[in-house]
Amino acid sequence: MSVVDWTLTETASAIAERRISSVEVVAEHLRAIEAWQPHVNAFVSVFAEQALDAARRADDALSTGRGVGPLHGVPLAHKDMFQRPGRRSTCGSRASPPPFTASTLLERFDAAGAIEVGALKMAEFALGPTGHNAFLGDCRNPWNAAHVSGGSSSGGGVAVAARLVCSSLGSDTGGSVRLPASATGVLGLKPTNGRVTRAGMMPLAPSVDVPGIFARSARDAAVVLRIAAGHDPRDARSSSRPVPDYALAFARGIEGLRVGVPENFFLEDVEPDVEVALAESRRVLESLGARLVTVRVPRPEPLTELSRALVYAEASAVHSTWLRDHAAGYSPQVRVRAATGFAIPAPIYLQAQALRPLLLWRFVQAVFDDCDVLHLPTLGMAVPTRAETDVGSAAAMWDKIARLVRCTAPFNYLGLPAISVPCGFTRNGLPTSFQVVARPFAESTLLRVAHAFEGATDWHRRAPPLPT
Amino acid sequence: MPGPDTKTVLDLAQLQQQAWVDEAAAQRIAAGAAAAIEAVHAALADFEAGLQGGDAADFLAALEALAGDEP
Repeated sequence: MSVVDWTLTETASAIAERRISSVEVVAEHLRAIEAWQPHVNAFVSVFAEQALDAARRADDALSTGRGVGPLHGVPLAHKDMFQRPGRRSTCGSRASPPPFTASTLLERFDAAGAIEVGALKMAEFALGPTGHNAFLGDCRNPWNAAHVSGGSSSGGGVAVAARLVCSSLGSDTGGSVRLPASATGVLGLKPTNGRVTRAGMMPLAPSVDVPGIFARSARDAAVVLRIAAGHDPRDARSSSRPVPDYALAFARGIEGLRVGVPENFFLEDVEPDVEVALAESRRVLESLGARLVTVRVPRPEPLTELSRALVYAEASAVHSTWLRDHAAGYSPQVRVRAATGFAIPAPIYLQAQALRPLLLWRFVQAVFDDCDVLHLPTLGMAVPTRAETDVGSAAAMWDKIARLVRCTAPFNYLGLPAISVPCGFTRNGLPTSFQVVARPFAESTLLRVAHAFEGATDWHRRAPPLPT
Repeated sequence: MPGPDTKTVLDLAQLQQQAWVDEAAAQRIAAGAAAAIEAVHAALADFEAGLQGGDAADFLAALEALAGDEP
């Protein structure tokens, strides 16, 4: 097994125990990036020299007995929208937006010892679920480059799946972490709204945006979330709830856990081979002691459009002056998406906000009185090709794009935590996954389910072969 | 479907100083906005008519109030 195949926790342990140097680990990942980049276009930029310098400092620190953090010497890369002072994030755009405040998450990762090896591709201003980018080039799926990577955090799924980094941060406003995670066969976690600070992350729709995590195992995601979560005085909407050690719950397994299977909406538009993988994942969870229960989800139909009412209005407010002065720097379709909020009346926006806690109460009481987690698809269809979802293709393209977020965007509106877990492949050879949703701040339950599933299957260990 | 027509969108774009919005862009903006507006009306229909309040801070409070114990 190559160094790049190690999980984040395996890598961090090996470095901390001085079984391998950070320089060796970072160099191996840089070699993998060089080999894969022409095939997948996952990186906007690679910080090879800076990363190797940081790795040398990390090794020096270890050799002199200085304290190390949980990510000491571990190579990571993130969606190119987390601001680091002195570096201008592209935000997936050629319109070159001005810098915003420094990212708290990057500071927390620095303090934990992580080494940032590059910046990752994303949809233009995070406004697109496929991974297309007219200016910076499409990010491509490592399992088959003709297929989409998913978006908007397109580089995160690709880089973690292809073993180019150990983990990655993205943002999830309508499924932008869970969709690329599902399309590339890695774990994607969208925490509860408010669990992780957004300070220094490019705003798309501030009341809906949530930083999310790509990882190759639930244990890795638990480590990263523990570092990322927690109140930030620079983000007034970050929660002050204590941050648990998420991996502690793994030992309890899922015996007796009630897994809800929705009888309406979420399983109604699922392609047959995705349904086969979902059914098998339910069987595995049941074999581990979980109890399957059927639940009726209250009125899920308007949730995606309610989310859009918030996203459109807030995105238009965010982009208004930049769009006014740099409209030619936007691609035509993204320009329209960023401007749709101009046509949403202020009372409609405020009603969508006022409805949010009401619908959340109704949903949580109706669903989570009867089950502990809700099991559903992340993406109800096989990963489409880039041609099928290109904005220049047929009218059916819009329908296909809308279907991409059908099972993800409702939980952005409701603010609930959700995780996408790889559970097989469809007939086109692309990964598929199931999604689990839980009560607010129940990330440890989601990670517990994912960990138990990983213990009984090996889907999370599958890696795409480097094209020849 | 409730929502603005193309001319209204063009007027709103002008108010926002978005000179780039042409008829084709306005049509697509109108369609996107109409779907979102319709969803808000549909969701409101589930609740008794009354005075609507609340903001994003209420939402975080609701999330925290609904957090449960680890099952």
